[in-house]
Amino acid sequence: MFQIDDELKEFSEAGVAANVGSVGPDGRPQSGAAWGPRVHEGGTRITVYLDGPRAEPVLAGFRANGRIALTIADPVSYRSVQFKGHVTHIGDANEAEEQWVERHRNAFRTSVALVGEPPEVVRNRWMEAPVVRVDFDVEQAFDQTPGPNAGMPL
Amino acid sequence: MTALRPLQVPLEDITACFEGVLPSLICTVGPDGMPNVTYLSIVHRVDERHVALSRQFFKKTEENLQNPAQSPLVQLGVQDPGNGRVFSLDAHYVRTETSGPLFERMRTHLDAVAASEGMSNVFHLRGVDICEVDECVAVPCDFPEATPPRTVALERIEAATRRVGMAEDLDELLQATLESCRDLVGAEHGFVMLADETGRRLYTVASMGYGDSGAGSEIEVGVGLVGLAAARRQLVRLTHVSRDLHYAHAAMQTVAPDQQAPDIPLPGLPKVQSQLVAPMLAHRHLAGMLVLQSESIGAFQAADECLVGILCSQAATNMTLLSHDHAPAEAAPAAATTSLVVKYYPDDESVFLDNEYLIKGVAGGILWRLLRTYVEEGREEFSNRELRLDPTLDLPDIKDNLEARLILLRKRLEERTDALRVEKVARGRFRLVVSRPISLQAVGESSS
Repeated sequence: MFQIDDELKEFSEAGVAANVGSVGPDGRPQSGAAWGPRVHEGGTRITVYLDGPRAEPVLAGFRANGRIALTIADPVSYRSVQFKGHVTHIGDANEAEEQWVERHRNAFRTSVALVGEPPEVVRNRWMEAPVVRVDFDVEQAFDQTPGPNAGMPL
Repeated sequence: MTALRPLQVPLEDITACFEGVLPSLICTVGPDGMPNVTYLSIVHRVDERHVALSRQFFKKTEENLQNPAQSPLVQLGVQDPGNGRVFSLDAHYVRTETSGPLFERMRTHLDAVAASEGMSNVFHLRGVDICEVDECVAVPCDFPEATPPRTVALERIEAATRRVGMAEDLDELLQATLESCRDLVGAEHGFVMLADETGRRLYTVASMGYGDSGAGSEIEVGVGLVGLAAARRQLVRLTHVSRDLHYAHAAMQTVAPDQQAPDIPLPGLPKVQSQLVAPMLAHRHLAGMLVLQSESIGAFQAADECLVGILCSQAATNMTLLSHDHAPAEAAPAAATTSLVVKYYPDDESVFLDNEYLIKGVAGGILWRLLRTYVEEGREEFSNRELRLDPTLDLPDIKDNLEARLILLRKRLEERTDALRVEKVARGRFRLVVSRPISLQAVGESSS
């Protein structure tokens, strides 16, 4: 089990770009955007939220084998971290969680605006629809920042 | 052999996604069955069924794709920079290339990003992975309107190449080339650098859309973005410079620029986001480089490479044809107030006007020769031919060089002084217009 410290928790919950990967029942990799990464108390579990209308191919993989990868990246500095583990829960998000996702999207919108991404591009990053909650236990974490250390375990 | 099923979304319909404006996502599967998801700066479209991925940093992705024990499947998420639509590409790894035109092109692109900030050895391209696309689908979104690709009618391309091809002198040719780029590609800012007689340096002779023309600015072939593209004879297109530089800085961790301040700065936009740098080649000979710039992200598209390539070829070819001069003649007067002090340093043929640097090298030598003739003989009109035949100028035997130097000299004089001008009077003939008394001083050894 990998333990996320306070600094990495703060980074994970800021305006990062987040994407998840899974392996479908047919063995094909599946990926998609994720929102509102939240590190649980104790630092070994993360919750992320997927756009409902886009989530099914990725969720099918989670249901088939539970394996998940989550990469978060700062659009400005390119600092990136990948977490890997197993899904423990898939479910609906409540209102407070929808607000948490909204907060993250606003922070993300600010981050990408800093690197010049126009509003007409940002607005298609997510959909105005309910999100799906996914919890997973973090087993490994890797530095994914471009450079010589990319891929090294944290 | 079974026929391939058509893709739901043909790759040629989403070419903007392969411009490198927005990062792409790549997901693979490890031998342990774990997914691996990371970012990729550019996915290149190779043809209607294949894409190429640059392999610099991702160790896990590389292990996963090249693992012969399992099916090397990959999913890519690419994004349209015009409206943010995402397309999902299911593909499989086919082979890795470590040489050849595609590899060289991608290597130059990566090096160009670093070179544009005076850095080198930031990225090491280890290979280019070619993947065959099995399916391409549009990810659902709320705003699916597509941005139409820019198209240019063949008639307009033909008209532009004809204009460049029919230019009667180098000045007109360079002007036509830059204006054609503005008309066909929408480039409002651009400049042309020509190769000097050694082929080791480039100097700016024409520009469009800048406050300072940058005429006379020089670079070494191989150094910086333009120099790198020149050395490799390759076109480089950057579509999101600020993002590329953030990426380079992240990879580099510490930045150590290795560029020195030039005598005259290159033309440039303060917030450049897109650049298209193209070699002007005639029979593999590098005549010069064309540089287009924009402060808009994604201003130059893949199709623009073809258009600019056509214009550059035409310009370079015509440049080699435009070099024989003819003659006629006439004359003109000069006015007077305080003397303009012209200092000449024979070592590097640099010329200073009232202690302000003007120009050096061949163009400096030419100006000194003109001014001396003006003072000693009172002559104001000159021909290109007499300069070519003048042994004191030591002009190399390259036909287009003199005319380029004269354009450069004319532009530098226009920018730096009201007292001296070079005016064209006829093909192959020009006039030195002197509007103040001049005092000539050769510094160091005697100049003759």
